[in-house]
Amino acid sequence: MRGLLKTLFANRKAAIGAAIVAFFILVALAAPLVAPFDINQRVASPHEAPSAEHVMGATRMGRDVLSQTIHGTQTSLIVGFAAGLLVTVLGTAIGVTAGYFGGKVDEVLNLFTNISLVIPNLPLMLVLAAFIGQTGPFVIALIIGLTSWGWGARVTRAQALSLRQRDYILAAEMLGEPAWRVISFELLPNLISIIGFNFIGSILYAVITEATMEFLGLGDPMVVSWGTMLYHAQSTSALQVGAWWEMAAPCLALVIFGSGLSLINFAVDEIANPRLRTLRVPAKVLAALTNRSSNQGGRA
Amino acid sequence: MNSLPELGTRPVLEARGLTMRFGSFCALDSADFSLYPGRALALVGESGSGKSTCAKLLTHVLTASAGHIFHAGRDVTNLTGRKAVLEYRSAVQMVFQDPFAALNPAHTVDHHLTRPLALHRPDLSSAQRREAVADLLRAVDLDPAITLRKYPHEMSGGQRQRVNLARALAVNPSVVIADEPTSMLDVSIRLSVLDTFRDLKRERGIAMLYITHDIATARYVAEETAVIFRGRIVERGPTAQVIDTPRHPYTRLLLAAVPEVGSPFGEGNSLAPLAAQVRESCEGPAELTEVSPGHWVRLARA
Amino acid sequence: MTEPILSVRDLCVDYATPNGLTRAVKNVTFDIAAGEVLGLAGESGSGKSTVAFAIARLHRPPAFITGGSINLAGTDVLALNDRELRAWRWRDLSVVLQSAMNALNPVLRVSAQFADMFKAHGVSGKADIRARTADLLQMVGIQPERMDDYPHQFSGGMRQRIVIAMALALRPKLVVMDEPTTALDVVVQRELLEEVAALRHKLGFSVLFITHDLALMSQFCDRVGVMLRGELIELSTPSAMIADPQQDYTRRLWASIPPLHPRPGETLVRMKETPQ
Repeated sequence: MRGLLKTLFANRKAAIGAAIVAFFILVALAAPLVAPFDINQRVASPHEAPSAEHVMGATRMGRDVLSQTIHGTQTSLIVGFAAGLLVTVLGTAIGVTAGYFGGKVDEVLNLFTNISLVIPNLPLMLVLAAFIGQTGPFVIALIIGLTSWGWGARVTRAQALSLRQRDYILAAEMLGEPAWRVISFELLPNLISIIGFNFIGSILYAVITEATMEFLGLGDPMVVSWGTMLYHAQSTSALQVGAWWEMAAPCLALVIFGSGLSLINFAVDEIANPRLRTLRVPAKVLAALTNRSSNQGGRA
Repeated sequence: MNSLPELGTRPVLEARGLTMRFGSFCALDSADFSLYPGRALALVGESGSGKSTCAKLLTHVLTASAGHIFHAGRDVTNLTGRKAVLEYRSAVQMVFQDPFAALNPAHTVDHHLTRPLALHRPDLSSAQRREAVADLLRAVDLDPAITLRKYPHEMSGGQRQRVNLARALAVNPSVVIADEPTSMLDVSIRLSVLDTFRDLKRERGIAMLYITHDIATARYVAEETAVIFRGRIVERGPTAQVIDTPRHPYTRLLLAAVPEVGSPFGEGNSLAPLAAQVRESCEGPAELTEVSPGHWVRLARA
Repeated sequence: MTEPILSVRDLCVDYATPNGLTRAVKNVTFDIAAGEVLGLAGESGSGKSTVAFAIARLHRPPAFITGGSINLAGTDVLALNDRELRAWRWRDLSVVLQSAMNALNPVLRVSAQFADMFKAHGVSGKADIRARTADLLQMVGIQPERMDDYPHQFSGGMRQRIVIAMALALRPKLVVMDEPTTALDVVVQRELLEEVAALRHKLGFSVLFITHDLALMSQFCDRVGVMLRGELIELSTPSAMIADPQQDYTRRLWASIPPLHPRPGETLVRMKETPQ
């Protein structure tokens, strides 16, 4: 694990990504302290343009966009991580079980996975949300979590299937290890990188999907999140009246946070595939190399 | 090494008419052999000859299509129930061919050796377990102080194979099936690894099945050698006899093909004509007949 | 004394690791004469494969050739640029690797793979290509009628023969073979190498043969070099090396081979792995 984290931070992409994500997490944690204005108070004139006092301008209702964005970070991140966790736990559990046991178990689980994959997620979620009524972030997280685990399950199952045949798994079984121990202690530790990759990807997916659903009006308009900000901006025709900042702020937040997550995933990919790793040669080593070869008059 | 087991010793593991079919393909055809305590049988053959199938049948990874396996006199061909399988597995262990693939890259040597003890010797306290693990490593000629915390990728091939052997020994088996244990190791270190196998076999009275395609190494581990070709055992007998006075044409071909220091190609010792001849002659029904005490050859019925 | 076909002088290959440069090959110097089979023996990690890869210019970062010269039939191998390298590869030097059986594309017919190779080197004309392919397959003992089969329809040994046929297609001066028979059975190995030895006499190419199987090397090679920790510590004919080893490591290496028929009074050496 230590080696994993070390490699993660040695990678520049991952370091930047991690910094971005860490920044957003801090903002989310310290939201009430950091936000300059109360998000429910009218503190400016309607659609006031960005100024020194209101760095990101104000909404139609005169609320400070920056403060809303900061508080929105809290909601969006909680939903994102919760849904991402649910997706990953479900996907991993189902995928690894199917991959390890094979046979009937695999067939049954595959059926569920295929159903989950085939049904278009977004329309399903819209139907569910509309059916339940005005759904708060918690329900949205649950809906996302319960419908989007299919891809992760499929990928994890494939990896588990390939590792299943390795001699060390067979050796553990031959020593008499019960199945649950083989899965938890012998198989899972070797699947960490793919699970990590899924997790990060799921968070990204969840955050964006939540924003989408709220934008379409399925969220609770009383809650402040990036998605509901977009919903309000849309319903008050912000763009049409030229108040681009009301749309831009949440969009920017989504894009930057999403990029941060994707950058981390680049590094996880490198960890999983060591061949990608070796292409990077530390700068000082390369310098020593070129010095040496130019001294000898040879070629590198 | 005594070429024949002492009179009256009962075999620990016996295969009688052991057969494995995959659809219409017969991977193993009526294999007959016995394993005795403290002695090793070398099973020599090409890849695809059925020797790995044999190992999988004996360790219950596969279930035989026909024939019987007897362990200490009991018929264990079809084992049902987790308890029965567990008991069998604590008596019959396997050492795998690929030293790297047989160890979990996510765990240290300590984990690999502690787990079998935790499973099969629950009576041991954790201090006793630690001592037992250290004893196992010393038995395979590794230093516990250095080796315990190493990961598989931090060890050489020979060291990994010793750890594999230690793990197999941890459950105190009466039979060890070694499936090509040195074929992925450099030729120069094979002997020292095989010495460890041979010494432990004698000291602990373990019956060993040594599967290999390198017949030259059979002499160093096994008292008895069986040659398998296309799923059938074609010759079986005391190792020295099988190697020095082979009776079956395939055995002769195998021995002629083994690289021997100082006999360069081309000086009239080409293999091609012999190989073609052997492949033709090995079809058709044939019986195992005893040509001298303990030495059996599958000769075509006249 | 005729000019050697391959001339390696003071070859150095380094690997870049996060901790700095590790020297994998240290000042290796040797020649191969035209039509000669030279073997490089040594334990895993001794650098023998690294030398072979360097000669074929197959190294990619983090491996770097940091010193020395390689000259094949008058060409300065290390000075070739990418365009020249592409033309030179396979024409003057070809490679047969251990996993060469997996080097055949499973979804292409064998004839198509030969055609790809010929076209890449300027041979055109479907009929001509097919005729040459048929000749090559016959040369290595494969029935030409099987030209349009897929690789998986051949056994392991036959696939290796196909790879060797491909390696000889353009009549290279040197064929580098890195553990070409390690994954094959002893009988198949013997048949294959006998075939290669016969072809060598007929076509006159040289071979750089890498393996850890010393006994095999003594049968197949004209001269043998022993590598230890990146250095070439001894180089001579097998019989000379066995009769009078210059280095202790060499002596122990030869003495560690389990012989099929042990001679009475001969002591075998048990070697421990040398950390490389």
